[in-house]
Amino acid sequence: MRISARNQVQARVVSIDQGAVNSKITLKAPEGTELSAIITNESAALLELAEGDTVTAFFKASHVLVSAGAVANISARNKLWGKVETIIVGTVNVELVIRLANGDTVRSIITHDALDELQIGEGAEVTAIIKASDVMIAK
Amino acid sequence: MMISARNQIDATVDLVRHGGVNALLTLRTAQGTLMYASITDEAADALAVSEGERVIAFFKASHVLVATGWAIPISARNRLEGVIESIRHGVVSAEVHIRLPGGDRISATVTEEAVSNLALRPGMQVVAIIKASDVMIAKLTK
Repeated sequence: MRISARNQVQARVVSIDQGAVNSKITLKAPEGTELSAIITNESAALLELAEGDTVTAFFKASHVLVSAGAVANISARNKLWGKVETIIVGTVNVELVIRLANGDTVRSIITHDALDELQIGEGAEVTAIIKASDVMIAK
Repeated sequence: MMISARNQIDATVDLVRHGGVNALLTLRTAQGTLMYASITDEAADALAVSEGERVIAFFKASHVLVATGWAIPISARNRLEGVIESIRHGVVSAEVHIRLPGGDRISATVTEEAVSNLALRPGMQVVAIIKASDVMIAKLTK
């Protein structure tokens, strides 16, 4: 399968917590990055998802928020620390390529206004923030 | 029009800025809160949104992040300060109801893990965070 999402991470399923409608899937990438994904129970069943499975976690660049520095006090499950490697400037939006400590890259699309406000340049330390419900799983 | 999105806010368009692909709309809610929506240029043209017009800004509860504390340096354009009115608990996820100073209400779906990590409870001052690209715009038809 090929897909348009800018962010795709190979990971192993560590645990599955099932709720009434949704399940929380905890994943670990080979380099140690932990990710959480919220998917419906139905799609977990369709994928026959089990602990130990190798899957691809993917999320759109437009679902990645960026914070300057470290951030703890936010509800989002996925907070990935890294450094801005490249900034591709558009008219309204910019695309950031963030290099994580383990070598993975995360791409984020934010507004030009946000970039100016956060005073982020290439080399800046940032946290990429992704809500678990914005992470999809492919097997 | 009726729609499933938990968050629907009456607003007026303050400013429309066109990019090549996307447009950034600055909105002012009936309660005076500033909000931002990033929609495609094509959508902006199709809706013929113009400054001064009344629209509805809507977004899913699952696109709302909740933060505690102030002045979080974050890229999201929408940071709405409010007070938690109630929390509906689930097994995996919880629904947090936030009341903004002007009276607007926001629903956020977050994990129970986040509720316990941030020690969220009614009466607490929080910030609802929504990316501009997760805010959709509807126009009222006469």
